[in-house]
Amino acid sequence: MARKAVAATLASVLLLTALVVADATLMTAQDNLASSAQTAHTEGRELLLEESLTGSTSLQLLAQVQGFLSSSPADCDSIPQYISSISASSSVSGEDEGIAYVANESATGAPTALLQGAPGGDLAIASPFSGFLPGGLNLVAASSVKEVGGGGSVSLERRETHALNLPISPGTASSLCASALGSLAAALSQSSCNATLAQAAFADVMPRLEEEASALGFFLTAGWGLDGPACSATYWVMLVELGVMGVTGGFDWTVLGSGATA
Amino acid sequence: MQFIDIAVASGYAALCLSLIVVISPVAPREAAVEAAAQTRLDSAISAYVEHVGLPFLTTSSEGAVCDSASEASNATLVLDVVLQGVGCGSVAEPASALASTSLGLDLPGRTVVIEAWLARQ
Repeated sequence: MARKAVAATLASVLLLTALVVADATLMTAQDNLASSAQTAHTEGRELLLEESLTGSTSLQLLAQVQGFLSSSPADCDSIPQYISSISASSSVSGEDEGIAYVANESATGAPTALLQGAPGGDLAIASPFSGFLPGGLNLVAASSVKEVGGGGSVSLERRETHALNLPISPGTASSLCASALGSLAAALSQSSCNATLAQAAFADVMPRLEEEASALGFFLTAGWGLDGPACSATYWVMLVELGVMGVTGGFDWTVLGSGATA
Repeated sequence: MQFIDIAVASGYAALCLSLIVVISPVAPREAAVEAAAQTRLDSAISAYVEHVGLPFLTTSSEGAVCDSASEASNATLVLDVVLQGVGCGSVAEPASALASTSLGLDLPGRTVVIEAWLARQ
């Protein structure tokens, strides 16, 4: 009887020990699985954040540039310099689901030739304002994003250069402005100091200039005046590209030019 | 002597049963399932943002944005977009959600929060 009791006790001890060991093994396996799933989740979240941060800072940059374009008319003779002078920057930092992040981006206007060879970094979520736009205003943007999550164990750091654009037409504006100023100079030069003749020549050339500008998406206005005893005529032209679709909606972009007859 | 044997055996049995209860693998399994669900939700938000684009979320009307969120939702995935603190009234949070997440976007002139829930099947 006593032997049976001892045997039963030993059997129970072994069984319970085996159960505890099996449970602990299963627990460890599940713990590893949960840890892997959590790491994968943190990595996925960091990628989502990286994409959204780069996209939103790009749009913030473009909104700044759009504000500059709509409030600062370009000079007909120096549109390339005007474009080169454009710069904007944006930065954001914070914390999201245990992931600390810092994102910075800066952009500058650059000659078309440079942008055509700009490195990829295609920012699909900012389309159609990402990538190179032939004939448009193109910007080179350098972005950096740093994220640390998972208690410091999962980090992401990315630096890239990509092209952004706004659909104004600097090349068209430049040639249209030069053409209009040339036509006005030619018309007013033939008036020989006679205001009536000059006004007639001006009125004669204007419909064609307005039509040409309109065909290319611009609204053109112009004016002239006689400049004192030197008998020189001064003239000016203003081109407005109306309703350009920017990141925050439609805006107008203005180009001004002027000249004088000899 | 017999009393001590019984007490030791019972004590050991109680200890083992307690350990089995304490080191339950159920909790980490649930954590893994939740993390996987969160990953799925993040992918859904990413797909939605890539599909509509950030310029759309920056300039579109509340109605257009809510329609796009509704189109991206299905039987198990519910998306809502909160524009300037106001969500789409037509979107109802699932009664029993397996997981939920959100993504805030600081866009020009507008703060957007995309919320997502994964309903239990």
